[in-house]
Amino acid sequence: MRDIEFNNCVDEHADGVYRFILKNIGHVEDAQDIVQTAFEKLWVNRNKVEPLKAKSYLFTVAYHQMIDHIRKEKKATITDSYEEASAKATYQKDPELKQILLAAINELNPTQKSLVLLKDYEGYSYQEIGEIMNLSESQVKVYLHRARIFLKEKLVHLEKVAN
Amino acid sequence: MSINKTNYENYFLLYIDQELSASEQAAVENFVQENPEYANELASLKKAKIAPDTILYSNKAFLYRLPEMEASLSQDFKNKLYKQSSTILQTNFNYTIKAALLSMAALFIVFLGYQFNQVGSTASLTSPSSIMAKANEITEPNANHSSEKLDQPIIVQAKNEFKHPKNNFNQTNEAVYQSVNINPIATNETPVLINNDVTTVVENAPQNQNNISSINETTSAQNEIAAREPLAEAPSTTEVKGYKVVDTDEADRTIYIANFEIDGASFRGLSRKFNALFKRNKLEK
Repeated sequence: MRDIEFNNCVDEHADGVYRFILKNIGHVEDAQDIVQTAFEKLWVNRNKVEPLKAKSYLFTVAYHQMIDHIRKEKKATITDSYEEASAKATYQKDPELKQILLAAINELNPTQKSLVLLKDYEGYSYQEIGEIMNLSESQVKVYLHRARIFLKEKLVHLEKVAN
Repeated sequence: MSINKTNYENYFLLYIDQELSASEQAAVENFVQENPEYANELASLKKAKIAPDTILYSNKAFLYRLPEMEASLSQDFKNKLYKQSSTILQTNFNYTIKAALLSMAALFIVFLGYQFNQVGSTASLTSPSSIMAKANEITEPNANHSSEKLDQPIIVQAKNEFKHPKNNFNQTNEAVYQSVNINPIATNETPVLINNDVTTVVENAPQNQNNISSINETTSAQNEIAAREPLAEAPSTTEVKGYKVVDTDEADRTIYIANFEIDGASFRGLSRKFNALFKRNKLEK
């Protein structure tokens, strides 16, 4: 991987990685730090990483950085943000589906959250997600399906409340 | 494996995750058409899928500015991530390096100028020995054939005077005196040649036993001493053989710095004065 290819990676994938991390941890500066670390690692290993695999490499590194970060911080931001978001959603007369969904996602555990985000935002296959998150394809499938069902039920429940 | 009421959920989930083949997708759509009671189930799962870039969320979605969803890094932040594998050669030197290079170049030019000056001076002036050789070439025939050169008559005159009889001391003295008097004037013009002639006279004198000292002394303008001693016949057949090295110390004192010429004598005088001044100061102290 040469300079141009690396900088193309920055242009193409930095937003995606950042969004993925930010959605997971909900902290702008920490997310930026993790993105920066991911790109630093990509740069260090640029001769080992093929340009086509760069995106998956970035997400893999960023994901593991994020897991480390969550373990270190042990923040309770997930539940906090969920309560705020769900409160807003509950009291809005016409709650936006997207907001409800985002609130619901924050209720998922970090693994499920990452699975949903990687699948829906980035369109990765089960296999690719498994590579990024160091899970088997069947694990990805099972965890993701659980998350989907949870989200669906959440939506159905909120719709019932709204009606 | 067909879709049935027990496994439909798994197929639905794979369907919204786009993990099914085209035929399987068609099978799911057929199943929903055949069993409309499951349509809501599939619709709910579709809703649970986050699709921020689609227009599924209708126009309202665009009114909600969700920073997380539209999160993008600023160009400044991206710039920090850019890398360059090789450092580009710095073409613009800073001021000190420029100054150093310029001064070095200037010194080199001065050195070159000095070198050229040295070569030029040696080539044009040549060494004292070569000058002597040239002088021999010029003076020898003149001395032998007594040509009409400016310096030559003086010598000839002197020789003629030497030929006078011994008794005519006064005359010879006067003549020698004249020649000696003339000599300084001539030496001013062509010192090299005159000196040579004088020395030749001195060297040749012993052969004829003709008062070496008298000639020497006459040249040094001591007429009285010369008069006491008998003047022998001047050598009529004096041959100019050898020349002594001309004293060129004066010329060497000239100091050349590049194209500048400094008079060594005056410089030495100045330095002496300077030293004397300091000596005096020391003494005063």
